[in-house]
Amino acid sequence: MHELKDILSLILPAFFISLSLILIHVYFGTKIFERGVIFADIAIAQSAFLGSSIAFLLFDNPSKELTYLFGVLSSVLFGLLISSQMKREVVFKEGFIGVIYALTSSLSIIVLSKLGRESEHIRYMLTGNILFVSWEDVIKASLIYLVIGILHIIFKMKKESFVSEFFFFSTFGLVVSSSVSLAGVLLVFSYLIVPVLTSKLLFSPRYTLLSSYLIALISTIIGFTLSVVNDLPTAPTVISVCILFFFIALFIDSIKNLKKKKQKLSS
Amino acid sequence: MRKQKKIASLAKIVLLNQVLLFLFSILGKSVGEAKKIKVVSPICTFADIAKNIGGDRVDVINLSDGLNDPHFVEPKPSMIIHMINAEVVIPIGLRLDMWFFSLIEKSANPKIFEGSSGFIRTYEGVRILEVPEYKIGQPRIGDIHPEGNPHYWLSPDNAKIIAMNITKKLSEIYPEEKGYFMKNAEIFIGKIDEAEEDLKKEFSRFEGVKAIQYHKTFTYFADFFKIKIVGELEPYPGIPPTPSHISQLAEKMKKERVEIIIYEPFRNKKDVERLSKITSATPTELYADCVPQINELKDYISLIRYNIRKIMMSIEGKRK
Repeated sequence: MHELKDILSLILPAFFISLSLILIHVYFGTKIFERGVIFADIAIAQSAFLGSSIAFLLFDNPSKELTYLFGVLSSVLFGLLISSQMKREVVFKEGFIGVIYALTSSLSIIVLSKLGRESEHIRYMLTGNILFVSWEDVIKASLIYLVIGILHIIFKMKKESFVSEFFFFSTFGLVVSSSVSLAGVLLVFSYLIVPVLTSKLLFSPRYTLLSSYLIALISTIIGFTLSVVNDLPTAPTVISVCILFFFIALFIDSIKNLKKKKQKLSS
Repeated sequence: MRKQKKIASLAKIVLLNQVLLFLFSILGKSVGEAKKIKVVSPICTFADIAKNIGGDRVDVINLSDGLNDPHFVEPKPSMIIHMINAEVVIPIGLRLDMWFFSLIEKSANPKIFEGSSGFIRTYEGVRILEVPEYKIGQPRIGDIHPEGNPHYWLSPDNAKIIAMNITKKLSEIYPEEKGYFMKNAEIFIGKIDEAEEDLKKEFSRFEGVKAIQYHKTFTYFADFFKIKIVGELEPYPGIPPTPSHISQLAEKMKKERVEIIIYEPFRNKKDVERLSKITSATPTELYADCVPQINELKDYISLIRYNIRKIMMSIEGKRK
C-alpha cells in the first residue's frame, strides 16, 4: 500500500488548509452577506493581486514575504476606500465595489504589461493551488487566521462606524491576500459565499454560521474524496460539490415556496 | 419506504464501485512495471523523444495533452503520484512549465530535484533565442522572457540536441544500457534528418514568407524553416491583444505584405479573424506539441510535418 501513503501525504496538508480556510472565510462570508456587498471580496482580492504585482515591478525577484506585504498594503488601502462608502445605499455600494474591481483589474494588467516579463509566470506565482500547499504554509496561514479571528472576538464592534468598517475590511484584506496566494481565487470565493447562501435557503438566521460551517466541511470532505478517487483537479471538485449542495437547497426551497403558495390559495 | 431503500442500496453500490476503482488503480500500477525506468514529461514532444531513446527500457508518462496551453496545466492528484515514483524528469525549463516544477517540489522526491541525477536539463547546448540584454539596475520595461524564449523544441535541430541530452543522462544513470540508448538515439536523429531534408526541400519555394504569430511560440520553428516573423498579436507575452496594438500590427502587416497569421488551437480565434479581415492574411492554426490521439499529430516528426504542410496550404490558397 505504498501509494495510499503517498496520496495521504499529499492530500493531508491540502485538507488541513481547507479546514483553516473554512473557519475564517465562512465567518467573513456571513459578515459580507450582512453588509450586502457580496462582490467586496473579489475587489479586495484583486487589489491584493495588484499590490503583489507592484512588488514585482519595484524589485527584482521579490521574496514571498515582500509580495505578501505589498498585497496586504494595497488591499488595506482599497479596504479603506470601500469602508468609507459603507453608509450609502446598497445599490451604490455594489456599484462602487464594481468600480474598484474594474480599477484594480486594469491597473494590474497595466503593471503586468510594464513588467515586460511573461505575465503567465507572475500570475502563476501570485495565485496558489491547494494541492501544492506544504505543512509550513498550513501553519503560517492558520496562525494569521487565528490572530485575526481572536481580534474579531475581542473587538466585537456592533455599531457600523467607519472604524469598525475599516477594521473589518483591512483584516479581510489580510486574510484574502494570504488565502488567494495559497488556494487560488475560485476556492476562496466559493468558501466565502456558497455555504452562506445555501444555509440562508435552508436554516433560520440563528444557525447561519454553524450550518454554513457544516455545509462547507461536508462539501470539502466529499470533494477531496471524489478528487482522489477519480483523479480530478481538487479545488474545482470541492467547488462543484459545494455548489451542488446550493442547488439542492434551492430546489428544496422552491418546493417549500410552492407549497406555501398553494396553502395560501386554498385558505 | 421502498423507494428510499432502493435509493440507499443504489448509493451503496456507487460507493463500493468508487472504492473498488480506487483499489484497482493502486494495485494495477504496482504490478508488471517493476524494472522499467519511470520518466515523467510535461509535454508530448519530450515524451515522444524519451520513448524513442529509451525504447522498452522506459515507461514514459506525459502530463499534458498537447491541445491546451502548456503554460497552464491543472494539477491532479495522480500527477504528484507519478512524480513521487519518477526516476527521471524532462522539464521544459526557462519558466514555461512552472506547474511541472511545483509538482517536482511537491513530490519531495530527491531523485528528480534540480541538480540531481534524475533531472535532465533538456535545453543544455540549445542556442536560446530572444534572451534580453539588460544591465543590473536598469528598468525591465520592454523585456521579454528573462531567460529567453522557451519554445525551443519546435526547431528540429533543437529536437536532436534534446534527444542527445536525454541519451546522455539516461546513459549516466543506467550505464549498462548505454549502448542501447545510443543506438536508439542514432536511429531517431536519422529520422529527424530525413524529415528535415524532405520538408526543407518541399518548403524551399516558400522561404522568406512573412508571418504574424499570436504568442512567441513559433519563433524557433520559423527560424529553422526561414519564415520571417514580423510581430505578435500579444503586445507582451501573456497579455491579450489591445485594439491599438491590433491596428498598429495591421498597418505593419500591410506594409510588409504578411501572408499568414499563425496561432495555436487554444488562442482566441476572434482576435485572429479580426486581424485577418483587415489585412487579408490567412489564419493558419498550428500545433505547438504532438497530440497522441490525433493520427496526423501522433509524434514529434508528424507534428513538424503537419505544421509545415499547413503553412504551405495556406500560402498556396492565398497566392492562387
